[in-house]
Order: sequence, then structure tokens, then C-alpha cells
Amino acid sequence: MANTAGICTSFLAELGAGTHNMTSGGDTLKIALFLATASRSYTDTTYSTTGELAATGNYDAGGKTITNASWGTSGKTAYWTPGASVTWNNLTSSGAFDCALLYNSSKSNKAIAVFTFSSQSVTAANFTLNMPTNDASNALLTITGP
Amino acid sequence: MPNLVHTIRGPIDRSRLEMREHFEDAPDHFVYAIEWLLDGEIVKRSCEVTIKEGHGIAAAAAELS
Repeated sequence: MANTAGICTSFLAELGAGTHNMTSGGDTLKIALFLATASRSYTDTTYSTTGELAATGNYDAGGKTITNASWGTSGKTAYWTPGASVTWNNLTSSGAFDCALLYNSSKSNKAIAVFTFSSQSVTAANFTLNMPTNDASNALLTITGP
Repeated sequence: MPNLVHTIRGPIDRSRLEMREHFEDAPDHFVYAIEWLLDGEIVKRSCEVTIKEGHGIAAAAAELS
């Protein structure tokens, strides 16, 4: 199996329903790491422990809380990126991982987006996930109107 | 004075370890990892993944006639 990146379709519908408060001081958002053998996808509707790194080696189930931030706008594009990178200290991963799931733990763990990268293992050291430049071209999430 | 590195095998003097760096520049992310090897075995590996570009949704313009 493989992990498939993308903004979760359910999240797009939830934007219309006003489910998520993605702004500084808003909902608690988290990001969790998944094994390369997992099957996370943009079709996910909620966070699931299936395929997540085992809760060993300084990894806690559910992952890390990220710094919520406000959306920006530029032209026809709205964009959003967490306010800081996230680091797992002194991690020993239970296996090779290539996926991070962003989800909203304040709203029944509803899934937001799946990100993939080349498969990595971490042994007795730090793993840092750095965020992209927060602009209309590179932000973690962008939505562009017609 | 030993210069110890904390590894999966416990603290090991740095002089016994081989360090190597790993870079990867993929279209949407960048990886920088540092590996420490003891007799060919990776006993410590740190990693940074930088997302260069996130995910976007672009709505298509409707043509009204």
C-alpha cells in the first residue's frame, strides 16, 4: 500500500460548513506521522491510528500539536501555513515513514490534508518537519478561486 | 575527555563513529539527514524534511452563456 497526498475532500466540504477554526488561537491542530506501508489518503475523513508510528521511541500516538495561524489572501488565493515547524526530539521511529496527516483535534479529529515525502527513518535523534514559505505560491494549504 | 554521542547502542565515543550527510532535493520537499555509523550500522540518524510547496485547490472558471 502507499500513502497518497492531498487536501482531504471532506475538509473542503467542512470549510463550507464552517467546521474548522483555523486561525491563531483557534482550534487545536495536530500532525501525525505514518509508516511508508500505511494507506493514508486525501479520502480520509478523520485521523486514524492505523499505520501510524508506534507509540515508542519518544513518539506519542496522535502526533504533535502545531501552531495554528490565520489565513492570508493574495489575489484570488487564500493560503495557510502553521506558525512554526514541528520537531520530535530524540525520536527512534518504529519503522520507515513517509507521510504526515494534518488534522483538527478540536473537531473530532477531522482530517485536513495528507503530506508525503521520501521514506525516512530516525534513530535516537530529532526529526523536524519544516513548513514552506507562507505565501500564495508555496503555503501548506492554498485555495484559489476562478 | 571522551566526546560521547548518544546512540541507539548507548553513548559511544565520537572517534569510533563515521558520520555521513544525506541531501535530497525533491520537487515538493527537501531532506537533510545526518547518519552516524558504528562498524557499518546506523546507530543514530537525525532528519529534517522541509516542505517546499504544500497542497492547493484551484477552482475552474465557469463559462456562462
